[in-house]
Amino acid sequence: MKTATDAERLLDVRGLSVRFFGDEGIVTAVDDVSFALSLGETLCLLGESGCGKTVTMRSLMWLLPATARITGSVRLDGVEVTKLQERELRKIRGSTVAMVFQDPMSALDPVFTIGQQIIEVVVAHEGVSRPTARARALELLEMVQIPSAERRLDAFPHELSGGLRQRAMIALALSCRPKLLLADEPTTALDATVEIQILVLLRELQRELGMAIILVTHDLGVASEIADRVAVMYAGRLVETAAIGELIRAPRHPYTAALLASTVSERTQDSVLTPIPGAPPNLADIPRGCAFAPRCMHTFDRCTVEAPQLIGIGSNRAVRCHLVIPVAAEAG
Amino acid sequence: MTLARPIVTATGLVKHFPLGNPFFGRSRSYIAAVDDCGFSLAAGETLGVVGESGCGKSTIARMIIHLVKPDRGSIELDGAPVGQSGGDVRRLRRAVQMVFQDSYASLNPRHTANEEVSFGLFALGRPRREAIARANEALHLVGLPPEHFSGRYPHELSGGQRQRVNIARALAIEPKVLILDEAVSALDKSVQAQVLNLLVELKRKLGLSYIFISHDLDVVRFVSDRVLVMYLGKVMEIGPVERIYSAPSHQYTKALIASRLSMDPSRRTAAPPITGDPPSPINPPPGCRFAARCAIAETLCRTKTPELTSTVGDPSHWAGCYATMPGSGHSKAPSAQPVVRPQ
Repeated sequence: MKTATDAERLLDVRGLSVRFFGDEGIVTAVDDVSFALSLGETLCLLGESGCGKTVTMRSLMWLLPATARITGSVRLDGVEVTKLQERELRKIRGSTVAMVFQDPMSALDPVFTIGQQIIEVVVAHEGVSRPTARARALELLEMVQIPSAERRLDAFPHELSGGLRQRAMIALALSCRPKLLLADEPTTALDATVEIQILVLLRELQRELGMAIILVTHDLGVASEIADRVAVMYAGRLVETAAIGELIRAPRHPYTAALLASTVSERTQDSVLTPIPGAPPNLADIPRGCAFAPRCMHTFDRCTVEAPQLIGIGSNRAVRCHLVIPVAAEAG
Repeated sequence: MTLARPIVTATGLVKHFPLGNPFFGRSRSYIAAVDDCGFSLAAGETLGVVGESGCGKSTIARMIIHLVKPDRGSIELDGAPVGQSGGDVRRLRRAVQMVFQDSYASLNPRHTANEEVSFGLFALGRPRREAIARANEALHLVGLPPEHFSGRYPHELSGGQRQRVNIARALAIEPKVLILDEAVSALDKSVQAQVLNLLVELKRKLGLSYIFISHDLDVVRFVSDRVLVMYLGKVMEIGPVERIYSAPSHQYTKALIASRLSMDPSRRTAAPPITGDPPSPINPPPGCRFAARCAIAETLCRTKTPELTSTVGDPSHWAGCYATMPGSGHSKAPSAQPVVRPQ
């Protein structure tokens, strides 16, 4: 996935691994993950529960419990995040990189108004006066299309509906004009008619502000609405990265193909739903070889002994499967 | 509404939950969880119930099996009314069983799979050995070979396996109707597909009827024969699944169907079909419940509640929307005597 524009990349993740040392032994939540992202681009980390997508995203701003051990490199806007001290991390969190969580009710502070929470962040990072920060907060609420923004500035989180709360959360994340916006299942808790509003809003905001977005989701429908590229994860590893259109049209990794076949959508309406047998492996005990081999319908001898590498096929596509033959010489 | 023999008929169900402390005078506010809702379920049919959070779809399910007592309205089982007496409720629960969303919370953590599934049979007075054997049969039926699974506790099972135990428990007493309240919503897609296929297969094998409640429009379309659309405690529309998805009549149904994610990056949704959130169901205003968010609402919509009326073109498809109701007085409504188009 390396190209000549390496220097212009906003984010460059190389060989990222995250391990947790706990009672059940060593859990490898993220295993040798590499990807890159430019300004204005949207990447979706896609996978089922426990595949490591959230841990991958959180490690980009080192938002992990103390038991986590991170190896590999995360270069964000020219800075090696993995080498930063806590004090330096606090500076980039909220300014260079900001995060939108799944449940805005527990991510927002219930005892402060929406306005106070945004003002605090703006004052802390930009050192402006409170009236200036308040004006900025109002501007932000208008930007995320909260009706009667002036009044909502003085509202507490519990006074807002689910959709407005998520908009307020996005306003808070955008308060210091981050270059990278991380969003962890930002629409999963929302109703269908509200979910599409938030996705369209995120798309519009990105066009206006030009930031890069990484969105974690388990839903191919969400990825189809917003992603430029998708990175599919399984058992802590990236198994396929591709442009969203190519991924939906012609998935190359057996897991991606199986996930598509087992997702109910208009496409599957008149055909039979093909589920993936079994369940994802325990991360403390990942099988030798390919982690998907026990559930894969194309498994052969090599799959159970040797873990496949991520092989580049074409300019912006990579697959981790023994069945895929490298096309271009740029295997990464 | 259907010609087939109805197995469950609900008429005029109402459930209002008062707000505030009832000990200090009568509460002025109430949540209109379900307001004058009725439907019938034919034998062998799957009725999908869709709607956003707070629309009352779970309250309806709970009223059907008397977990929540309706304020008004009646439920008939196989043509016989179901009263409030213990005997009636027992008869009802032998015929209608429910599977809940949270597979972990709905299983007793100290019961093995077999104990969980056989419990209902004990309660019905079946002898111990027979109950255990029946439970093992039920586990086998849902794809959990009893030799491996009957002794397992909930924490030793995966989410999909736990939901299978819940289904086995519901099926053990051989009900005719299964109410599935967001039963596959918490599962990963690959596992969700396994459980959906299982439900389709069980229905065919055992001749069951389903009331399938979900917020996931694609899943509802996949399993349902007919679909009931709810909004803020009211039925907005009910009809055959293909009519609901391809020719929705109510403005709300249209918005809901158009809000589905495309699964095709070349056909992304350009603009959201409606703005705002579903309002709170506390003290709903008169008229159509959807009027506040509807783009074409008129004075009529805000003053008088529209009745469910059969739609032009399909007598089994009903909607409560003045905009499509012939002669309703809404400026977009067709004239009172629709021209019969030659087929």
